[in-house]
Amino acid sequence: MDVEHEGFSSPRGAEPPPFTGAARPGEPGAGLGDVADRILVARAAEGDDDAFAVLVHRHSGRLLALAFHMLGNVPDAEEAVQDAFLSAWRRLPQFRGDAAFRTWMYRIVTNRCLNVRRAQTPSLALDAVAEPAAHDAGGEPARAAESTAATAALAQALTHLRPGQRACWILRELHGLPYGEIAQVVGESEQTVRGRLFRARRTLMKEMASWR
Amino acid sequence: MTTVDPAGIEQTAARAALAVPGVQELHPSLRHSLADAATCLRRTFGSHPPSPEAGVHATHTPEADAWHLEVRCVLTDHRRALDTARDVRESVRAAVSSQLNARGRTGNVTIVVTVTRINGDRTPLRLHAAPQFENFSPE
Amino acid sequence: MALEDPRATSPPDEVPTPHRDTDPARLVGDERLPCGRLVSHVWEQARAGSHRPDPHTADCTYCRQATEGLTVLDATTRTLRAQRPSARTVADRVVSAVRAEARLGRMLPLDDPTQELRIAEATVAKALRRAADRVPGVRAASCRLTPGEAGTHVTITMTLAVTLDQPLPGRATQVRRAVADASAREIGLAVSGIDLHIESELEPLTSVGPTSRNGTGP
Repeated sequence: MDVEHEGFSSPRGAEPPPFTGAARPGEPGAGLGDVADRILVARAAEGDDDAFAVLVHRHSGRLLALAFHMLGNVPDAEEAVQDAFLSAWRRLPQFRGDAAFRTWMYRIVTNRCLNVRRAQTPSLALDAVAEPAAHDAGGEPARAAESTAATAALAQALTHLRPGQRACWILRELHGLPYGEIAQVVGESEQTVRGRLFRARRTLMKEMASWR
Repeated sequence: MTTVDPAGIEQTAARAALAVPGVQELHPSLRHSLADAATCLRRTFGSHPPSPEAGVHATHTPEADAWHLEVRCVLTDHRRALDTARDVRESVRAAVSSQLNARGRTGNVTIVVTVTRINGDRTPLRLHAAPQFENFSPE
Repeated sequence: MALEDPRATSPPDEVPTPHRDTDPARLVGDERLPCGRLVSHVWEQARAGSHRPDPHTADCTYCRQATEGLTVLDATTRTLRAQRPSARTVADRVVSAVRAEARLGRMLPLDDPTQELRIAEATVAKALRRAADRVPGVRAASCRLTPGEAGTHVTITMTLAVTLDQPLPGRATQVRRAVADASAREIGLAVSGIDLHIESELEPLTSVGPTSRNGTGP
């Protein structure tokens, strides 16, 4: 599977390094890497595709991660993110900026993923899902394999969650969004989001309890 | 005197426009774009280039024997857009008139040049993504 | 938003909790265990580990059950969080699709007596924003172009974000000059007026200088 481990900071980790720009000097979009989304959105809404390109490069990583964890495979995730960005490009002239661009994109991608999942049978998250019973407490390689298998089991358990719960859990636990922003993304109240998160956590804990 | 095919005129005009310094390519008109979009957007995501004639639209009014051409250009930023557009108009006029004359026509030719884009660089447009980091700070 | 109501699609998957209904707080996103503790509190304690040992949780079956799987879920979540497909291909595909699907805006007259030469509004706006960006401490946001009644001249309306470390009138003069210059020398546009609106403050840290277009920057 085409997955890179990019070494992201943990939720309680240190400050992330600063964003260093999206384009080499001399190329379209050069010099815009430091510009706030709000300004790029104003430009892109008027058809400035260089500005939109900077937004795409800035946000595609986290949006693809969202779609990947929602859908469980890279090709479907890529298609969902592509469609979401194209839809955003077309709708930008009507985008009023009530929400942040990031929130808006999270919302479009989340909706796409929920629609994709409704349209097809859920695909398995990862090809091989090892049985928890099969692991033995061995040396380093065994522990690494076990960790991989446990991650696969969690990805699999995610696919069994109700879609709304899955979305909330991914946005909170994998993307670190605040409850208020999750509520905006999924179009529900903050209370509903908290409830879904609680139920998602309990279910996932139950599923993971046999892994030590 | 022979009849003149608009497609032939469009080809001549496209060649003449592309020969002008500062013209990078011709921009397909909406009808071509829509046809392309319908067939290839999902599969190849717009990766195959349309033919240059797609950037020229020629119409003929038989009563007046008049030709009207619209040329849609993508320019480089090495020259002022106005100067390149003027040269495109003259180049296209000369080439089309010459083709009409060769077929014994002397009809009136009007040419509208539309600049759709100015590209900053001749190299392919490619932004490189910087690594992205998220702020996962807990509430 | 058309988020599916989950209750309509699958049966409830909650653990039955007899005390829940008797809890006047009707907790959302939490639950009171039969021993009286809140689940969220027990989770917090478990995460804090041995820093704050609690004699109750050490012996309580409910509390122990409530934290089963928590440690492994937290650890596995961190691994899952780091699994991110490379987005480069997607981003490149989106950018080329967007460029192919240009939103050109209206056609504006170039400064030619025949009025047979035109240029797309979006293209002019891009060039003029770039010109404004070259002024240190300035980033252009919106740039709109309105043709006059005669159809030969256009009015430029631009909104800017600027740093506040320089007097605004001087900044505005610089931007006006840069925009007028680009209109005349890069495009060939007859300009009847330039309206500038300073709309927001640019953080000084994020705007160190003019847009570098020749690779000489750091």
